[in-house]
Amino acid sequence: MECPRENDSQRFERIVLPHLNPAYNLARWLMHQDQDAEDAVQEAYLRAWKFFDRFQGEDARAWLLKIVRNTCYTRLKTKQTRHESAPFDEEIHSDTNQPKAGDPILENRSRKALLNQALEKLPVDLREVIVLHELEGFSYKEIAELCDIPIGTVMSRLAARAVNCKNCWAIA
Amino acid sequence: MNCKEAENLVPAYADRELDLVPSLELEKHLDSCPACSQIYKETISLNANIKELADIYQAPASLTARLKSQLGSQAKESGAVPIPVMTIESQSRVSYPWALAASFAAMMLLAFLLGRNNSSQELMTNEVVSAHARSLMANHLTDVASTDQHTVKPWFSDKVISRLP
Repeated sequence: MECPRENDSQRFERIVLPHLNPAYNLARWLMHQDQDAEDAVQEAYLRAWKFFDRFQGEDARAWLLKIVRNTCYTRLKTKQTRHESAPFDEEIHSDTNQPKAGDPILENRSRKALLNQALEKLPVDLREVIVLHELEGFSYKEIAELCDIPIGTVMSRLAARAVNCKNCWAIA
Repeated sequence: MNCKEAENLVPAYADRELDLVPSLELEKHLDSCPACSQIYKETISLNANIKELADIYQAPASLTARLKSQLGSQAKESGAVPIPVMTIESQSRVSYPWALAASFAAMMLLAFLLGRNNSSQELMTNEVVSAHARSLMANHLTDVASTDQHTVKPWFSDKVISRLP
C-alpha cells in the first residue's frame, strides 16, 4: 500500500496529538498516580504512532483512548503481579475529612474529596466506564466499542455507579 | 412494569440511553410510582454531581513537550525506511508538486477506505435487527389488540387523516 510517509507525522500531530488531555485524564484515573499516568500515555502515543497507518479516519479521540486504555491495563497487570496486593493507604481509606455542617464551601470541597476518593476506590472496570461516560461524554455504544464489552455490560456497570457513589455521601 | 424492573432501567433512562419502547413504559411507571420517581430524581442529581465534582486531570506541559520531541525523532527514523519512491525523494528536498500528489493520493486512499468500510453498515444492520427484536418483545406502540373492524377503524381514524373504506 503506497502511503506517503512524510505527511504522516504532520497528520498525526494534527489528528491525534490534540487529544492528549483526555488521554492523560483516562490514564490518570486508571493508574492512580501522575508518573504512572505519564508513562502510560507516552507508551500509548508511541503505539498509536506505530499503528497510525491502520487509523481509517474514524473518531481519533476514541481510537487513541482505546490504545491508552489497553496500555494502562497491560501496565496494571504487570504492576499487580509485581506486588500482589497494594498496601492499605490510610490517607485514601480514612473517612476523617467529614464535612462540617453549615459551611457550604467547605462542605462542597469535602463532598468533592469524598466523591473522588470513592471513585478511586472503585474497581478499575467500573471506574473507567464512569470516566468515559461522565467526564469524556462517550455514549454507551462508544464505550462498548472502546472497552470491547457488550453494551449490556456498559449499562450494568453504569447502573452500579449510583450505589457506589451514593454511599460515599451517605456516611458523611 | 414493576419497581424492580423500573429501578434497573432508571440509570440508562437518566443517561438518555434507553430505547423508545422501554422509555415509554418506564415513564408510565414513574408517573404512578412516587418511590421510583424519587430514585430517578436522585440518579439525575447524582450524575450531575459526578460530572461537576470528579477531578479532570490535565496533561502536564512537560509531557506534551516530551511527546513532541519523541514523535519528531520517531518520525525521522521511520521516514527513511518505508517506500522506495519516497526514499528517493527524501534524499533530496521533497518538491512541492510531489507533496501535492502525495496528499492527493492520501485523500483518494482515505476516500477509498471509507467507502469500502462496511463495518458501520454491519453495525446498522445489527441495530435494526435488535430494535426489531425489542419491538416484538414489548407491547408494540402501533399494535391494535384486535382484528375487529369496529376497534381497528376508530383506532385508525385517530392516527391518520384519510378514511378507511
